[in-house]
Amino acid sequence: MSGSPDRGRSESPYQGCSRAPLRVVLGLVGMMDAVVLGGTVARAGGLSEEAPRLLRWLAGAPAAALGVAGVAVLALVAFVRGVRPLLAGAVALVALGWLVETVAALEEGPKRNFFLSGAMLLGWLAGLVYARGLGPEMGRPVRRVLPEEIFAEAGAAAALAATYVNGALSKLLTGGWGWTDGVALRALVVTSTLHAEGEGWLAAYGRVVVEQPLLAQALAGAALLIQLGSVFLLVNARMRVLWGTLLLGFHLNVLLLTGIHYGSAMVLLLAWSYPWPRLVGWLGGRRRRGAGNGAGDDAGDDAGNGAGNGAGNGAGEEAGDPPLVGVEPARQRRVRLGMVGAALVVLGGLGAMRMAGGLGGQLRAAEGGTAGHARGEALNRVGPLAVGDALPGGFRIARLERGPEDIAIHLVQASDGHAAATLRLKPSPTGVDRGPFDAGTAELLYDRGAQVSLEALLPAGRDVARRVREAAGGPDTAPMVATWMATR
Amino acid sequence: MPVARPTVWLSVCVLLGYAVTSRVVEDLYPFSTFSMYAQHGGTAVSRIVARTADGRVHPVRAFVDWSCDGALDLSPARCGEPGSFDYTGYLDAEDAAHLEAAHLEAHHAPGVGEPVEIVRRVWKLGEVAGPPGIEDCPLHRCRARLASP
Repeated sequence: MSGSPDRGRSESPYQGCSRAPLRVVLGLVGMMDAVVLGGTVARAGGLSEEAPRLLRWLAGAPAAALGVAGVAVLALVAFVRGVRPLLAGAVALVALGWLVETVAALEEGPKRNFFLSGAMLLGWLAGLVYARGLGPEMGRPVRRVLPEEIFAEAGAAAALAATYVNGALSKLLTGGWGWTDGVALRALVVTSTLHAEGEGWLAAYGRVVVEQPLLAQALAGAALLIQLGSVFLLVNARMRVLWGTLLLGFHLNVLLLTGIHYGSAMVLLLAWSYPWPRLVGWLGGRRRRGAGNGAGDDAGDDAGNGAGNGAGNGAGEEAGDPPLVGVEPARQRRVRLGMVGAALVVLGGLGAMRMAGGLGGQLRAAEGGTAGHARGEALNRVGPLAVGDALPGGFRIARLERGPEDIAIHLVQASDGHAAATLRLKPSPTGVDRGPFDAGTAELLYDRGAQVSLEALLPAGRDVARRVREAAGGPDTAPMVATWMATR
Repeated sequence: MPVARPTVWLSVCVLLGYAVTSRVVEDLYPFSTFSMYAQHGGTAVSRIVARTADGRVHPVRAFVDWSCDGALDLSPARCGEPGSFDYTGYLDAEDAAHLEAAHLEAHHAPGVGEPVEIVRRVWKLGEVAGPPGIEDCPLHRCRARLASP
């Protein structure tokens, strides 16, 4: 990593080829996301008062939602065309983020299938920033291969790998290696397909997975290892082909078994994992040779990609990427330190906001609004719940607040009084408790900023739900909860 | 000594940066922990389904023009002690929303279609090979019409 120039080798299947196709695919996927998200927000009926103001405004203004989607699309068109890609990509990222967060508020949970293109766009932009920080001496374009896009591609690939590593880490942190016993997979398949006695090989495959614990265990273990091993996408071109294929297989298997599809992820994996310019050039060369015009030897210059050289000939110096490192080490160090410092500042800020009570609450507070959760009417007792009540799992009710939208039950650790979580009780708009505690026709949810895991919170939440059901004399708890909320 | 490419440094930073930031913010676009299927859960899982006279089960969304006995109550508590089986909150909510909407619309034309029961089906996943055990918890008797494909 010194100032010595490398010899034109890279970890990319696009080595020696323009990265423009990757930029185009990433931009197109982002555009599709923007159109779908914009349509979803435009059709929505609005958000409640407790949602952050910016999201509430967008959800209540269909024309504005379509406008934000339009801004994202236009910015991505500029990105695809290579017109000020850093600025265009950043604008697209902000517009997409606004839409994604609004949809998350509308559907009471994030739609993660829209996150991958954003993560890769962010990685692409990080690569551009780093390359530009190194300055023009860092490398010169060779055969339309822009050195800064070599960095951009690497950044996007790293973000792609990070999303899968994160998925694996979440499973390990939540369920440990026990997640690989296959029960979670069998449960997902059975509830997605109803384990129906359908005909055809697809239904039969689903049934086999549900009914053969060893097979389910093997598939779950393989899924975890494939996700965890996504770092191999970054090792070299061959490993990227291998691991990209494994990840595509993983997505295909999930699609076949459950019907859950991650279309954007599959498109991006397809684009990033295979040496398409060489494959296309190779096929073009074969076609021309087949036509007897002997033009195949010229294919290497076609589109500036060196495509006719084929993937199997080692793609040596003549087909390699331009040398990248031509700047003095001190300058590299400054750029790297600057980027790490900026990342640490952002991380520190986000971490501090989280520690202070949850990002959502901070965003609401930052708006200066009065609709935040912490501004309800403080009470000593609500129905069967009273401040000071001990709850299973080592929790205690520290505060009860009646707000316009719900009743907030603030829990602390009984041992040290530290804030643990806030439960929110209100009549369910659908007549079903979507939370994990089973509060009947009322809804008992926990804040996403909870300081303890759901597993730790379950006994306390279920005890609260039980008390509510008993007070209501059965599962039809919504009318009773509505009474508690209305009583002044 | 081999010379590492400068892209390696960038890749490592982006990978670690994304992973660490996601743990801090959880789900804030474009960062996510992708924790949607991370829960292990129990071996008894349930789903609200439509059971026809021949005993087959279908997604409730396969039927339209629902007309049921009384107000809809699909709460899991009707089928056993809390924690005795798992259910997927958003799937239950989507099914309930479909039934509520169709039920309200069908008030003007009750009795259309075939007899259909809304049940909560609980599958019990065993440790040995074989079909899962099944328990149906009837919730409502209805009439509904199979949606056109």
